[in-house]
Amino acid sequence: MIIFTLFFMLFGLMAMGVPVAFSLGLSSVTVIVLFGSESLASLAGHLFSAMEHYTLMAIPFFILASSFLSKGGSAQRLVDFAIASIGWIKGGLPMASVLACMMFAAISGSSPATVIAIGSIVIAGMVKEGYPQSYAAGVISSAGTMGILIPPSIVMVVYAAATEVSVGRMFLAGVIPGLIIGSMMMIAIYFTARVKGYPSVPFKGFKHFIKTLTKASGGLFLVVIIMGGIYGGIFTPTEAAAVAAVYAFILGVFVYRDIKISEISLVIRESAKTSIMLMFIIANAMLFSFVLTNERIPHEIAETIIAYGLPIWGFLLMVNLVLLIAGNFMEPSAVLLIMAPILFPIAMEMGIDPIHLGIMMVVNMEIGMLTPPVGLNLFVTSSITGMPLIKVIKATLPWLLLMLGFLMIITFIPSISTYLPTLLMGPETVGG
Amino acid sequence: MKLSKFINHAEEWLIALLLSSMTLLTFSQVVARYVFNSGAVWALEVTTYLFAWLVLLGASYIIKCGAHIAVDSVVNLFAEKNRKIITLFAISACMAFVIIMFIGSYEYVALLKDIEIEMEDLPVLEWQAKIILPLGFALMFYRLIEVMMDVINNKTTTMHFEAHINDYKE
Repeated sequence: MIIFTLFFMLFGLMAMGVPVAFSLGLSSVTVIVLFGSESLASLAGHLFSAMEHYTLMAIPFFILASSFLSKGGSAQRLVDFAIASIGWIKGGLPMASVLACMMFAAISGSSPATVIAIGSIVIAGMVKEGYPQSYAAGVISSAGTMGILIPPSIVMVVYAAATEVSVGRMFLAGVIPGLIIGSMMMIAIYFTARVKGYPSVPFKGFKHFIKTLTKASGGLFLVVIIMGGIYGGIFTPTEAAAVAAVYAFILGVFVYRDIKISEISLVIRESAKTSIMLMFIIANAMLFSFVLTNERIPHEIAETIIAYGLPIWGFLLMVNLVLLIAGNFMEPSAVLLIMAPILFPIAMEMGIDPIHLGIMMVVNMEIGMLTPPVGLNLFVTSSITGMPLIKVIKATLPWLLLMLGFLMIITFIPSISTYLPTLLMGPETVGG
Repeated sequence: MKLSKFINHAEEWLIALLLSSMTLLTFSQVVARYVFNSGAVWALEVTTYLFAWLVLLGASYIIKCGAHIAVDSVVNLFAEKNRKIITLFAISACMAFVIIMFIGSYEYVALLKDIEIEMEDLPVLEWQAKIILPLGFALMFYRLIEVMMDVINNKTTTMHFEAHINDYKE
């Protein structure tokens, strides 16, 4: 009864256009008022405690960093470098766009941000070279999803905060899957280009390559700072994010000088808006998952599922199905915060690695960004290209199938996710 | 009119200030630790509260901007006239949440005020640092009334009027 009220209200409110954060909040509060024993005061306390999560503080910092990077000309330089390195292959321009998305993903933590930063530069370029606009849009909206898979990643930060898994481990775990899906996309582009006879960009010589590399290195060095800093034990992921933000600011304003002094406050305000929007959803999703746990709902679901005696592969398939559906309707962070408390204990009981589960969830969220009605990447791509949403959805469809294949690989070969963190940080110690 | 303009600007500046100071404070702690081999004990607590103030104060600001992300696709299936009614209902739902949370926060802060505990590292009472809870929800209520008036006067049809590209304009 409680679970029914909770989810029925949540989806009902969202369907009526109530913002996601308020839908989560109101449905949790209603359940507490009608059925719960908690006082309203303790709910307020719980809402506040979401902001006291040290791990989550990385989110506004990462958002600020990628804001300064994309406005500060780093994205343009990464694109130039990507074109100089692989543009000469057949279908070089879209392949270089995928590479640029991967590089931007490695310095930013969000998928829509990656689509905006890279897409607003390369889509027009591809159209000029004779690629169909829908092809360019499809490539970018799907390649942009790597923003949350390749570290740093806001969604991984949220998963870590929800399950007490280490952020550092999650970040490392995303590296190999990120490289795999990136290569899969590039290979697919290569074969399409051969069949359809897409052009390549002439190689401009080794000197040009070095020149673009030097120019892009300012942005790329951030990968060294973030990953090196975290794994060298120099700073925590949250501190790494703050360092990245300050570095990106200096790079954009004083080194590349693409941000004017008068534009600084605007960039900060825009990032603040995004952070607030995201954090208010997270705080309310935490309230929601508190209500779930308080009513022992995850426990009941876990018992039912374990009583069914599902084999591990069956459980994993079910997890994918549930997440794919949920990812269609909600913001990734909210889905993680609601589903993680339910799925995590069951997975632990069945002996599934928490890092593996985390990467599976992230890949599912990537796919969720490409499917209507709440596919953020679709909206973003449609607004930077001016293409109608329905056309973007069609253009993304083949890539969506590729992503689903990739999801199966990630689901059934856990070592892709766990190999690197175990190698560099020792075996997993988090359990139960 | 002038006063509300002043408040709008002050709000924007305060939000930018909160975000930049929490970033710089965290950054300075890293520098302090490696360069000066020291760090301030109070820094973490201050950053945490700057973060909370940013989010709770900002939640009302972004209602004004129409930047709270929402699902429009179902509502868009309806005719214009019905859409208005649905949106008014949606805004009332937000108001209900904000009112309940205001009461809760007020009780919570009043409770903290009664027991008068100080913060861990700062010479401030805990209820003073958390006063942003009821304050934030009160401001959200004010902004919701504004949006409601706009919808009634046909200036907008949705709470989420900022284009989607701005959702993640990082």
